[in-house]
Amino acid sequence: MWQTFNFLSIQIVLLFVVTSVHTYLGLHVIRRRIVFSDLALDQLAGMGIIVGIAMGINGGSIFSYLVSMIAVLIGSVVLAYVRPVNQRIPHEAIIGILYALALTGSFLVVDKVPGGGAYITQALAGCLLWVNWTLVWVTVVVYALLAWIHIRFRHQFIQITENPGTVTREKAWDLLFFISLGIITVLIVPIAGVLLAYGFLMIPAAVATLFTREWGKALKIGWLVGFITSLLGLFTSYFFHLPYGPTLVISLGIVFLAAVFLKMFSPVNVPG
Amino acid sequence: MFEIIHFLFPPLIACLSMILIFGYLGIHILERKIIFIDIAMAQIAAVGSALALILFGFHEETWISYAFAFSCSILASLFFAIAVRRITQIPQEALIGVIYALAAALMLFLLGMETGADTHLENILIGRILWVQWKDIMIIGVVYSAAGIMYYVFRHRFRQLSQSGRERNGEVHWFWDFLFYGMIGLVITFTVPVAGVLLIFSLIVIPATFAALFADQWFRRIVIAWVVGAASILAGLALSFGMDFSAGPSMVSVLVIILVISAGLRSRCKSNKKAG
Repeated sequence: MWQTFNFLSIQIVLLFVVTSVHTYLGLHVIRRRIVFSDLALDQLAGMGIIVGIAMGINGGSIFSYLVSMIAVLIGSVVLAYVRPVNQRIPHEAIIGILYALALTGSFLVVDKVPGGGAYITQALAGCLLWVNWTLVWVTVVVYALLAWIHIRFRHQFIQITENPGTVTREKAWDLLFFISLGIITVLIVPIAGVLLAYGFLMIPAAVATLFTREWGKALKIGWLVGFITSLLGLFTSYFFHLPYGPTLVISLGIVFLAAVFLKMFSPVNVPG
Repeated sequence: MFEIIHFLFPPLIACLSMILIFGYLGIHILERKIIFIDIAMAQIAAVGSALALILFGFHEETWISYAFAFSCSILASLFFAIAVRRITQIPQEALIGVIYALAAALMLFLLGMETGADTHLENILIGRILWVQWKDIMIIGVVYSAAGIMYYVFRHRFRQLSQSGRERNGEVHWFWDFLFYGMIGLVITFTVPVAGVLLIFSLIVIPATFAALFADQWFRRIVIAWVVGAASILAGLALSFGMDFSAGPSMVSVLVIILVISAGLRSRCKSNKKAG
C-alpha cells in the first residue's frame, strides 16, 4: 500500500512539473514550425544513453546523462547553424536526416552488443525503474529555474517566436531557447522515453493551439488537458499493468484525435 | 566470390527496385515539404501488421497481415488528405508529427503484449533486407509496377499538384491528395516487412535532397536521385558484408555520408563563386 502510494506520488509530482514546462515550450515549438526538431533531439538523447551503455556506462547514472547531453548539444548546434543551401530543400529535410541518423546510429552501436535490441526498445518506451525522489527533486529544481527564466524574459521569448527579426541579440535568445529545450530533453528521455518526451511537448500544446491563439488561454487549456490526460494514462497503465510510456502517449493521442475531429467537422471553421 | 554474389544478388535487386520508386517519390515529398509523412505511413502500416498478429495471430507477410497494414494506411491517407485542409490552426507538420508518435507508441504497446518484442521492433525498424527471398521480390515487383504505371499515367497531374504548394487547397479536390498518399501507403505497406521503416525513410529523403543540391529540373532530379541511390546501395551492401554490420543501417550511413560530403563541397563552391 505504502509502496503504491509512494510510487504514484513520485509520478504525479513529476507529471505536474513536466506538463507545466513542456506545454509552454511546445506552444513556442508549434508557432515556430520546428515541430520535428524536438523529435530529433529526443532521439539523440536516446542515442546518447545507448552509446553510454555500449561504453559500459549504466543507464540512469550521471555519466549517462552527460553523454546524452553531449549528443543533444551537438544536435542543437546542427539544428541552429546548418541551413539548406537552396530553396528546393526544406529545413525539415535536414531535421529528418538528423533523426534518421540518430536512430541508425543507435542500431549500429547495439549491433555488436548481445541482446542490444532491448536497449532500443527501452530508449523508445522509457524506463520507470530509474525514477526516485532524488531524480524528481533534481527535475523540479531545474524546471523551476527554467520556468523562472522563461517567466522573467517572457516578452523576449514570445517576441522572437511571433515576430522574428525584431529583437536585439536575437541569436542569444534563440540559443537560450534551444538550451532549455535540450535540458528538459535530457532530463525526461531516460524516464519517459523518446516517444512520450515528444508527446508531452507536442500534444497538449497542439490541442490548445487548435482552440486559441492567445498565449494565456492556450497555456491554461494545455496544462489542463496535459495533466488530466497524463494522470488518466498513469492510472490505466498502473492498475492494468500496461507499458507506461506507450500508454501515456496513446491517451494523449486519443485526446488529440478527438480535438482534431471536433475541429474538422465543426461547422464554424475560421481559417487563420 | 561466386557465393558472395549469389548471397547479395537478391537484396541488391530488391534495393534497386526500391530506389526506382522511392527516388521518384522523394522528389514529390521534398517538393510538398512533408518529409515525415513517409515515416508516419510506414509506422502506421507496421501498426496494422502488429494488430493482425496480436488479435488474430497472423504473422507478417501473410495476406491478412498485408490487408490489415494496407487498410490502416488507407485510413491514414484519408485522414491526412482531409485534415490537412480542414485544420488550419496548427501547421501540417504538427499533425503528421503527433500521428507518427502515436503510431510508434501503439506499435510498442501492441508488441509489448507479445514475447520477443525487441526482435519484432528491430524487424520493423531495420528490416531483414539481407535475407530477402525471391518470393518477396516478386510481390514488391508486382506492387511497384502497378504503382509505377499509375505514377506514369498521372505524372503531369501529380507533378502539378506537388509543385503548386498548399495555397491551392481550395481549388483541388481532396481526392487527388488522397490518391497520392494512398499510393505512398501502398508501396510502403509491402516494403516495410522487407526493408524496415528506417531504410524506407532514408531512401525517400536522402537521394531527393542530394538531387536538389545539384539540379533544378524535375526530370534531371529524378535521374540524379536514382543514380546516387543505387550507388549508395551498392556501397552500403559491400560495407555491411565486409564489416559484418546490419545491412539497413549500413546503407543509411553511406547515404548520409555521401550527402554530407557533397553538401559541404557544394556550399564551399557556392561561397567561392560569390567571393570570385
